[in-house]
Amino acid sequence: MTTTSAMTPQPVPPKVPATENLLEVTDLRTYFFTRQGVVKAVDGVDFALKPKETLAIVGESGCGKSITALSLLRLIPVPPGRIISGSIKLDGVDLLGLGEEEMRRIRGNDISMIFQEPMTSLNPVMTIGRQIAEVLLLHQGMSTKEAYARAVEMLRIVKIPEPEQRVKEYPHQLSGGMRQRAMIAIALACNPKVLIADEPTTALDVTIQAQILNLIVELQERLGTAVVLITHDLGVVAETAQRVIVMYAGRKVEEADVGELFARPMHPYTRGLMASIPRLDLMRGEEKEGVERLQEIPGIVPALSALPPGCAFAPRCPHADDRCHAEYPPYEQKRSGHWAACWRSDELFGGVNA
Amino acid sequence: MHDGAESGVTPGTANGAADSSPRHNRAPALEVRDLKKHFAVKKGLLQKTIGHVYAVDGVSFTIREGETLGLVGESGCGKSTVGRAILRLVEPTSGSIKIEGEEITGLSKQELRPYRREMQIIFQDPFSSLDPRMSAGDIVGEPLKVHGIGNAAERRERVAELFARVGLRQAQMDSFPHQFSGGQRQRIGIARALALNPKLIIGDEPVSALDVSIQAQVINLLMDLQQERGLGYLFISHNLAVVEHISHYIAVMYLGRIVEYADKRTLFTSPRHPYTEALLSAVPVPDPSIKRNKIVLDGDVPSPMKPPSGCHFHTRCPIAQERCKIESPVLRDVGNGQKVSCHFR
Repeated sequence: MTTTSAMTPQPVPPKVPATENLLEVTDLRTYFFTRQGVVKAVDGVDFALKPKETLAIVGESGCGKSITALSLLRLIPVPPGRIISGSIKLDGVDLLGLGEEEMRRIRGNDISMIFQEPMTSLNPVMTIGRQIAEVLLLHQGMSTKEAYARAVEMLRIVKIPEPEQRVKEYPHQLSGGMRQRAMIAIALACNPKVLIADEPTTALDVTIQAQILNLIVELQERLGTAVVLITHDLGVVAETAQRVIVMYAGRKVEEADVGELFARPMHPYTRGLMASIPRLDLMRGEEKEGVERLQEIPGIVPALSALPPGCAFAPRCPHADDRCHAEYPPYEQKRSGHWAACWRSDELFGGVNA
Repeated sequence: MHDGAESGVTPGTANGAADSSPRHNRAPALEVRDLKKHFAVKKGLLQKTIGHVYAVDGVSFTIREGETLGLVGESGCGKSTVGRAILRLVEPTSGSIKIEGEEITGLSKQELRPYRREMQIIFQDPFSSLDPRMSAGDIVGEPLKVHGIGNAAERRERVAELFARVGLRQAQMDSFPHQFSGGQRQRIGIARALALNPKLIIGDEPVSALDVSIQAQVINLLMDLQQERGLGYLFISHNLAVVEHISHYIAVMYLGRIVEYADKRTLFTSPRHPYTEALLSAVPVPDPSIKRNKIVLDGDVPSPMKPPSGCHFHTRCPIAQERCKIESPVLRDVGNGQKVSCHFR
């Protein structure tokens, strides 16, 4: 493999014919207008999602990954926030052009979301059954009886034991893992086309995390749902996603298929992230002499209201030169299906072969 | 039911994987024997005790200078209570805790003071463990003040040294906690823990609240400090990747008891207890080229108020048999310093 692909001029992603895509996000910009100035939480993000696909959006706190997710459902608090430009097309319909009433018919029906902390997103004074039935009554026009029957079925699908009993219980009576299952049951009750999962397992223990991730993958295959997985955990990404977007300071810095991204990261930030996590070498059958130091990314994520003029990562980047500090690098295709925004990636990592 | 009493875990240097040549001639920095902490659950007008939470139910281990013991387990397994009981932030129900060979259970507050200097704790949440109305310099200097060390000028000098060591600027000594980022706040917590030159630091999920790029900075700092000062660490965490990186020995807890203990290499390459196996297989590995067969456990961790009979793990164990429901397995040595509490492994 050579670096020639990086030379070929390419149009803006997405890279696949539009007809194949279930969800197409183009040039999404969500800004917050605060007293401290304009916070560009999401600044020109594009991506496309195919049916049944899992797209992971990775980044650290404040990189804009959660705001991207909330923007898809138009759940940005206005004011101070506003989606100032872009389009979000679901099956060709631009969600940003819909009225609030029409948008309500989309939420929970065509696009659903599950959150990190199930206790704060479930209603504590409503039974689990009623919370599942509610979406069905609203979107599917079922009778109360049908809706409750379906609620029991949904609990069975998400593998909650004794669903007939659990359907009458309140969120506080369930364990953390059970609550997350109940959330998934609510989210999938209407068989949505897209499920947005914002750190769905971050608050859970590892054995429960494994259960929930398994469940999401299994239901995805069974129901054909496409998933946008928002996470900071590269392990979860490696095991669940097909395509990955890495965000930093409100923008995409890299994007590729999961195997390609982990094998040949092209952006210094992605490389830094991968080097800074302990890799479980022993479990991977690699043994090193002595204890290695983790690679650090020096400094901290810049405040979104005071971004540097050039590349946002330049102040922390070991490879940054004058151009990096002065000009934001273009987001270009470096290899087939592998995009990154870095001035120096060709020269630094371009020739890397797997 | 409370077995495991004589399960004394004394890590030798057997297997030598993580041998950091501990000083054998001296008493270990920390020795815990059969530690128990039961919380009474009270109810009603008369606060009648209706049951007990068996948070820690007979735990033993040893940490030598310059060594790290990683204590892993899921929420509610009692790992944080172990840390707190050692510092006597919660009063242990029974058991023995020795700091450099000296028994500290049963000591009065006054008598405990000199030992408190030897052991410090770093908490998970750097946002809630620092007093928002104290300057960073005062926070770090407070342990010195409490223990009556030096005059104001000497203390300030020592604080400045500590700031430099943990990678904070001295100009920041007069700033307040809210003016620092999460990683910097954790550095303040570390500087405070170091102020009295302790022998032992208990880290209760010290990097769990931090972003990964910042996590690496703090882990490296902790490891450097250990090398420099021969600190013993009890590193409590649910993150197995971090534990693998930082620990020499690892103890796995489930519902108040240690179910497996081994040096790092043995535990990660040849785990014996079915719970350890499941825990390891559940950790997502950040490498898509590796496809593993996961052991996914059914169900949740049972309530520590009503722990299952026999082996606590039998309700979720893939190899459980009739015997496991009745008879509680003893943590026994299976060679090379590895200890397992399972009838069949």
